[in-house]
Amino acid sequence: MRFARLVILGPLVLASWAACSHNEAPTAVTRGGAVSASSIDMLASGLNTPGGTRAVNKFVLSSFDTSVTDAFGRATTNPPHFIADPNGYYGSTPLYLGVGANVGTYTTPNILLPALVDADTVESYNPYGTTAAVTYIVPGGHPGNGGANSWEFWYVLHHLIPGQRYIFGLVRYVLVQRGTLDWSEMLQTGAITQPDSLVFAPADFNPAGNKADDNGYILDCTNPAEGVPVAGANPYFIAGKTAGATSHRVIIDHTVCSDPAWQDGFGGPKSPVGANNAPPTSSQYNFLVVWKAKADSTPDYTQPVWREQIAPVLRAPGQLANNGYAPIPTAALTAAQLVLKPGGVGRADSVKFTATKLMTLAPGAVYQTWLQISGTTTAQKVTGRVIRLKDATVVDTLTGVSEFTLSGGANSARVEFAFAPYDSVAHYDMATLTVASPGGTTLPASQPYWGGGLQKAATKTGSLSLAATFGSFNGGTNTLIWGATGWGAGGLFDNELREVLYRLARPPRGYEYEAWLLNSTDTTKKVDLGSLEALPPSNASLVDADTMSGLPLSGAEITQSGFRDVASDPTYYCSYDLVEVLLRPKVAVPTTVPPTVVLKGTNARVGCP
Amino acid sequence: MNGKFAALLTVGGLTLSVAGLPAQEPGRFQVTPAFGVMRFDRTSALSSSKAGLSRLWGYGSLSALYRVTSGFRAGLYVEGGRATADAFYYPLVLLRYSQTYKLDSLSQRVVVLSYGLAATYDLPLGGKLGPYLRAGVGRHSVFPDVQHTGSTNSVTGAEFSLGGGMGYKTGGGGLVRLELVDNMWSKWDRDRLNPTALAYQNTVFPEDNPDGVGWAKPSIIHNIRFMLGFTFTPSGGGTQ
Repeated sequence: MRFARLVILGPLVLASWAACSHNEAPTAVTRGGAVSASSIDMLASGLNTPGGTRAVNKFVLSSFDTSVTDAFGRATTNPPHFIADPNGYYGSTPLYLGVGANVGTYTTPNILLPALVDADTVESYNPYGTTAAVTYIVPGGHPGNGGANSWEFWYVLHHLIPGQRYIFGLVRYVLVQRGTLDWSEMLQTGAITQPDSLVFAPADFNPAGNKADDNGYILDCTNPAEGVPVAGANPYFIAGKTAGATSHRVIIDHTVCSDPAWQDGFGGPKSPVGANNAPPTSSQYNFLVVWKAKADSTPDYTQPVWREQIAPVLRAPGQLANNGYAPIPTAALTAAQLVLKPGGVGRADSVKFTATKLMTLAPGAVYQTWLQISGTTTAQKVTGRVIRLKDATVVDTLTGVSEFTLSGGANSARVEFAFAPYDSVAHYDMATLTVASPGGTTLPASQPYWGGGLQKAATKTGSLSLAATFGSFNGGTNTLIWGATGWGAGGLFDNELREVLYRLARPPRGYEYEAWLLNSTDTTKKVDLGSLEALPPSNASLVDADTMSGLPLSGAEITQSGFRDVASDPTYYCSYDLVEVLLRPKVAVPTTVPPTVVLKGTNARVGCP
Repeated sequence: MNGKFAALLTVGGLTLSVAGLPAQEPGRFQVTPAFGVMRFDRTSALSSSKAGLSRLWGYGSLSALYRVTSGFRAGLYVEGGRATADAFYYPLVLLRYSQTYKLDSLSQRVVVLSYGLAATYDLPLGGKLGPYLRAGVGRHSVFPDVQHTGSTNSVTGAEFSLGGGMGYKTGGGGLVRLELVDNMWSKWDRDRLNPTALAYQNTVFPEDNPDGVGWAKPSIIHNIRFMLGFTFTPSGGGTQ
């Protein structure tokens, strides 16, 4: 047994000793005597990304859809008359100026029913010698008002009936529509055929407030003389005043304390006036009206002399009338204006499509402009005028052409054509600049530049000028917008230049990436290092990375790639301080340095003379 | 001492303890210490290199088998040795010093231990020479160098062994064995023995990485063990 145990334990002891000893040391990798590599980091540059513009002179209106929500684009929290005081009384903080502009005198619109009486004579003006007529509603907390909790109503009206008493009030009107809504009709035609009426909703008539003479500018909500809101009042009377016997005018400058029940509206929180994009709540108002008073000082609601719309008109309490936003318009919009509104439907009259950072193409390739309907195969080649540009300078102009190349140092081009002839064939919505074969009559696969919005549909925004997009349009399906992305790491290891690149965007269809050695001060020193490759061991060419589907292509990006260069001597690289990855059409003239810098790195030229 | 290697000795000691119970069943246990060489699978990173020739490592084993029938035995085994995880299978170490990169290759010594249940069956040929078949199932554990990895973790997995040998009877009930066995490891991942942390593995100059980085990783690897052992019965009696 002793022998057996010795046989067993002896080797185990030896093994345990062996298991604990180690002397491994790293082994340096060298190349040509160099024990280290000079690093060159590459970062996404985004310099000279191709782009351009799609411009139209105007859109031609074909119809207008008033059923679209806010078809005229007039809904805003504050009405258009919420502006800085042109008289300067209230500084630069906006307030509501009923006259809406810097005008000496102003007569309120008389469009709706009940019709204004004396409206051809009653007007607002400024009795203090400055230019803008006095019609102010100053929000609580306004720095020019000074009252943190008070709203100020300051109006001057003249050409009134001497000795006639007038009542100022805020009203929450609902609408009785006849024919076309007056707001829509006025904006489209400039005239009203059947006026709509403003009425009190049956359950929303509760006159209250102050009908006495205005008590001046108090700004003290603890003072009983201050205007005090009345919950649920409609109309709410601000003040009364009798027209002067000789001045024929009334002036009120009355403050009203904020009501806790008021909601956000124009001018900030706790507003008596509803926002211009939402119905006034039960405690807010949409019109300021001045009525003639009866003998008993109650207003004669059938005889308004002044009426301002300050919030949307309602169809019923709490129910906004679409398009009935403040103020009621007094003139028509032009067709060119209407078509750009949310309800406008139309098309471009002409198109100017500009593409920048173009490269001169090799023989056998041209640029063509095509019109397309996105997401379909419907397309048509464009014939028009081509202005070839060197930056912003015109090089020359070609007329009646359907394709072009670059010459004379041109690096951009603008294609111009009338749109109507094409729209009569199909309602094209997209212009694309393609890289094609000369005389080609089918839509080329390479569609690197595009600009849309040639059709103005209802609810869409119409833009006369848009930035063109660069990438792979692909007929509007699986469109990829290109941008310089990714990064690279590598460097010079003796006589070898190597870079590993990460997460480059898939190049646009018909384009490829190339690596270049460049000199920042001597443009004659340039070396095309060729297309990128997949990483070892495959080292597969990525010339066709625009269409490849397998790794290293993954969806919209090249996950990993790289390039290599070997020189006969390490000093070869001393002539170049820049290492760049550039983007170019595959069919571009090969000797030209592509304008689009994707990744950029600096060669520190370590050890160079 | 590597704490996990101490486990090797512990297991060895336990095996001896089992072998030290002959009084209960005199002559039915066989204890076989053996020594020889191991040729790990070429893809394992433990035995082969770009030179193309398999590298052989010294290996030791100890088994204690109980005679169930006259030709069939079953029991425990433990084997072990020391090998090197070759740098040929791993990306180079890439270190950056300001504006320069430095590349190094790095290997790692490891301790290999396997253990489990084994069974042998003697082929009835008679005479002093006796061929037999051997099979086993167990676990393998590979212990990296703690000073390389900064960790006491081991790489562990299943082991299946299949092989056979030839025994030569000596006087006094002893037996000299010559044995060839394939120790099969399942789900072996050689990258778990990479001594370089991921952040320092070379991805910047991939061309410089050894070819073995791209070698296949089969789900089962075959490690061939060739050993010479001496079998005895601790109780001093019993027959084969």
